[in-house]
Amino acid sequence: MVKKYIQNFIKYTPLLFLLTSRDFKLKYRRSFLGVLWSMLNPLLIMVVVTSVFSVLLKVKASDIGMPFAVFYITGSLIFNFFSEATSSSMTAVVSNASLIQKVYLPKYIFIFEKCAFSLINMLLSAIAVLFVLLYYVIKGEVTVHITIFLIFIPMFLTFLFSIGVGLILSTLTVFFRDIVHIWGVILTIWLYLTPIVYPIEILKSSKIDWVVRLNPLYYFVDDLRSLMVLGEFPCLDHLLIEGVVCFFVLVFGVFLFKKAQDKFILHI
Amino acid sequence: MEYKNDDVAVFVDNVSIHFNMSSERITSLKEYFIKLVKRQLFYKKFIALENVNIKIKKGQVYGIVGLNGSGKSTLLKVICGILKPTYGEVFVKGKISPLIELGAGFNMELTARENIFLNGAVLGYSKKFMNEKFDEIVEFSEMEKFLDVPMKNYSSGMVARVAFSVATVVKPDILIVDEILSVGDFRFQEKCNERIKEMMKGKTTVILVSHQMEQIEKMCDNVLWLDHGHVKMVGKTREVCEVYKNS
Ligand SMILES: Nc1ncnc2c1ncn2[C@@H]1O[C@H](COP(=O)(O)OP(=O)(O)OP(=O)(O)O)[C@@H](O)[C@H]1O
Ligand SMILES: [Mg+2]
Repeated sequence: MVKKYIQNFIKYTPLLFLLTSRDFKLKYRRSFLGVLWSMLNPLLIMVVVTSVFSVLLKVKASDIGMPFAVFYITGSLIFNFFSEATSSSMTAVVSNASLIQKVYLPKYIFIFEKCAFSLINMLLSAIAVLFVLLYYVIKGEVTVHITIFLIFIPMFLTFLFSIGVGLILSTLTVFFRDIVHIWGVILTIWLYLTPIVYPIEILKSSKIDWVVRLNPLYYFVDDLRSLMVLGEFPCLDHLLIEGVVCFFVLVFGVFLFKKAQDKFILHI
Repeated sequence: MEYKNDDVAVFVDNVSIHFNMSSERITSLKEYFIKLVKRQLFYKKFIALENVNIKIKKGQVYGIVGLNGSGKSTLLKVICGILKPTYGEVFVKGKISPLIELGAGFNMELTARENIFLNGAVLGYSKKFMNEKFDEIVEFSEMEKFLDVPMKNYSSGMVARVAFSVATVVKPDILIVDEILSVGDFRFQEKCNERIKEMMKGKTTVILVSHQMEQIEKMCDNVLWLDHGHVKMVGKTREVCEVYKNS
C-alpha cells in the first residue's frame, strides 16, 4: 500500500521538477534583477523595518541577544516562506483545473510543487540573511557558532507544516472560493502574533502571551534564531511541540485532501 | 478486489454518474451561510450515466457512439480515472494513454518543445525516456519547423498532431481517443489510423469515440450506443451502426 504511493510519487517527480522550473522561469524571466531580486528584497525591507521599529519599540540588542536587523530578518525569513507557500498552494488545485479535468494525476503534486517552489525562494533569501550575519560578524556584534549548520531543521519543519496547511486550504478553496480573501486577513493577524519585530518577552505579563505561545511559527522562528545566531540548541520541549504540531496538521491535511479529492473535479 | 478474467481489459461495473446541476452552484462560504440560513440549499441532480455495464476485451477496438451530451466523454473520463463514479466500479488492466481532449496538459504559452516534455511528465514518463523518444515524437508529428514556437500560434490540427504523437509514443495497453482525430488533415488521419492499427496488432485495446460513422465502421469491432446516459445498444459494429443511423 505505502509502496504503491511511493512508486506513484516517484513516477511523477519529473512533473514536479518541470512545474517548479516553470514557476521559476515565470517568476524571474521578466524582472530586471532576476534571481538577485529574491535576495535584495528582504534586505531592503529589513533596512526600512529596522530603522522604524528599533526606534519605535526601543528594543536593545542586549535584550534580544542580537542586533535588531538580524532579529527581524531571521523571523521574516520563516514567516514569508509560510505566507507564500500557503497562499500559493491554496489556489494550486483550482488554477490547474484544466489539467485535472483532462488527465489522471495525483492532485497533491500541485500543493507539493508550490511549497517546494517557496522553499527554493526561502533558500535564496537565506543567502541574504547570511550576508547580514557576515556584516555583523565583521562588526563584532555577532559570533557564529557551529549550530548554524542545523538551521535546516526549523526550515524543514516549517516546510512540513506549510504542506499540511496548504492541503487543508486548497481543499477548502475548491468548495469556497472566498477563503482566499479570508486567508489574507488571517495571515495579517498571524504576522502580528508572531514575534518578528518584537521579542516575546515584551508580552510576558500581557493577555496575548499565551496566544503567541500557541502559535507554531513562534517556535520555528525562535529555533532558527537560536541555531543561527545564539549558538544554542533548541530545547527539547520546543522540538516536541513542533514535531507534534507538524504531525497532526500534516495527517489532518492528508486525510481531508484524500477524502475530498474525488469531488474536486465537480467543483472546479 | 481485482477483476480476474484474463482477457478483459476494461470492466465497467454498473456505473452511474450524477452531477450537481443546481442552476447557481455555491462557490463561496458567504453564499453557503446565507442559503443555509434561508434554507435554500437544494441540489439538483443530473444523471450523466446510469447503470452502465461494459466489458472490453484485450486487443479490441471498441467504438462509442451517441448524440451530443449523451455521456460519451463522461464514460471515457471514468475509465481513465479522472472522474470517480457515483455508484459502481471500474476495473482497468494495464497502462492507459488518454487522448480525451486536444492537448490535455498543454500550456499554450510554452513552445512545442517544452510542451512535449511537460506532457510526457503529465503522462508519467521519465525524463530519460522522453529524451530518447523526443526525435521520434517530433518526426511523427512533422512539426520540426515549429518546435520553438509558442503553441498558442498553432492551428488546432497542429496541436492535435503533437498531442497524438506524444500520447502514442509508448505502446499503451489501452488507448482512449475522443474525437480528436477528426481535426487532422487527411494525410495525418491516415497516419494515425496506421499507428492505431499497428497498436492493435500489438494487443493494444482501443476505445474510440467519433461522430464520423465511416471511421467507426472502418475501425471498430464492437460498438456501444449511448443515449441520455443509458446503454441503448451494444454489439457488432455493423448491426449497431445500422440501427443508430436510421434512428
Ligand atoms: N462537470 C460537469 N458538471 C455538470 N454536468 C456535466 C459535467 N460534465 C458533463 N456534464 C453533463 O453530462 C452530459 C454528458 O456530457 P458528455 O461530455 O459526456 O457528452 P458527450 O457524449 O461527450 O457529448 P459530445 O458528443 O458533445 O462530445 C452533458 O449533458 C453535460 O452537460
Ligand atoms: Mg464529448
